[in-house]
Amino acid sequence: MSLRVLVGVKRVIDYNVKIAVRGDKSWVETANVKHSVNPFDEIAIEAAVQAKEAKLVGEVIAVSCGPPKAQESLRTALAMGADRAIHVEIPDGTEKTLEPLAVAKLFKKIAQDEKVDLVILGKQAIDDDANQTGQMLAGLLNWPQGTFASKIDLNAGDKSLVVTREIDGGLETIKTALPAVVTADLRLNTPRFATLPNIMKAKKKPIKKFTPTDLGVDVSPRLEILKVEEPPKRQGGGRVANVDELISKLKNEAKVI
Amino acid sequence: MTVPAPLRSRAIRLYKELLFLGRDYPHPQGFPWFRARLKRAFQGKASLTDPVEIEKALAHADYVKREIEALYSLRKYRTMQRRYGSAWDDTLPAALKELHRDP
Repeated sequence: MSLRVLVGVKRVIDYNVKIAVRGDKSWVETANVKHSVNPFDEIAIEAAVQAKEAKLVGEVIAVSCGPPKAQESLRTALAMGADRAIHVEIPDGTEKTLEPLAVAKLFKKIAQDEKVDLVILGKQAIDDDANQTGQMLAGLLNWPQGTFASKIDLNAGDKSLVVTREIDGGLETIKTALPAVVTADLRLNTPRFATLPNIMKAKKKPIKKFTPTDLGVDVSPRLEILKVEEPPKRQGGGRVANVDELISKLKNEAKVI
Repeated sequence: MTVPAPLRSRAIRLYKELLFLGRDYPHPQGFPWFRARLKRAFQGKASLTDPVEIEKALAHADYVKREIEALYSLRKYRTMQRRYGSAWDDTLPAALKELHRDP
């Protein structure tokens, strides 16, 4: 029996865009801003597609929870080699209050419905940097987890998995049984490009659409965003003419000596 | 003398793929700059009729395509490495080293 892999795809503001805070401090500016697939999710997709190409995996399903435009990100995932996609659609503008716990619940339902053997997610999204969804999903499913993976060895025969994890100051290697949740770190692989011909071909691949209500998941936020602010601007440095001036500045202005 | 049809369609396909890649080209003047240069490069070879010469030009276009993809990959990886990477290990992954190597 061949394995089935679920990958998570989040549509985020492109990594190259300079982020601007909205005037009313409610959120960051998202209108007319280039969006793309979260880079860590691209790595997760690549890992799943490579496993499929190595005939370790039978089917790769891409899932995105987000506004209607998240479909573009799913098309990218399909162009990279995912077989089909599932879009959990939420109304435009509510994505900022879609919390990791809600996403983990949606993924749990889909993982169970689709009877998947492995879930690969990016370790975190570059917009909210929460780094929670994978861990929460593993907890909710009661599956083992291999987070911050820099290497994945999948054994389809005895349904086991060896994950090399990036931890502080070194690497940790763990072995676990499937089903499991893995989150991808930066060095797991180099994602391929969604080329133009593949994007065209991907248009024929199916995308199933659900709403959170269809899946029986309550996605109402548990946190309230009070305000979003830019970090303080860095003050420019100055030159001092001599040691005496330096000492007096350290004493009177910086007050460190 | 006209160019054989398969070569012609390959050239058009490569042109379209390069145009598509150029949409994210990191240049202050952005895509219009890239498109103008790309167009000039293709127009410059428009008069070629020798199939061997055309093959050479197509191979070059393919090489440029792979170089641009490598450039994007490296750029993204380096930015992500700077923001999220581990401090103790910043060596380039093997796949990226492969991309970076001259053919």
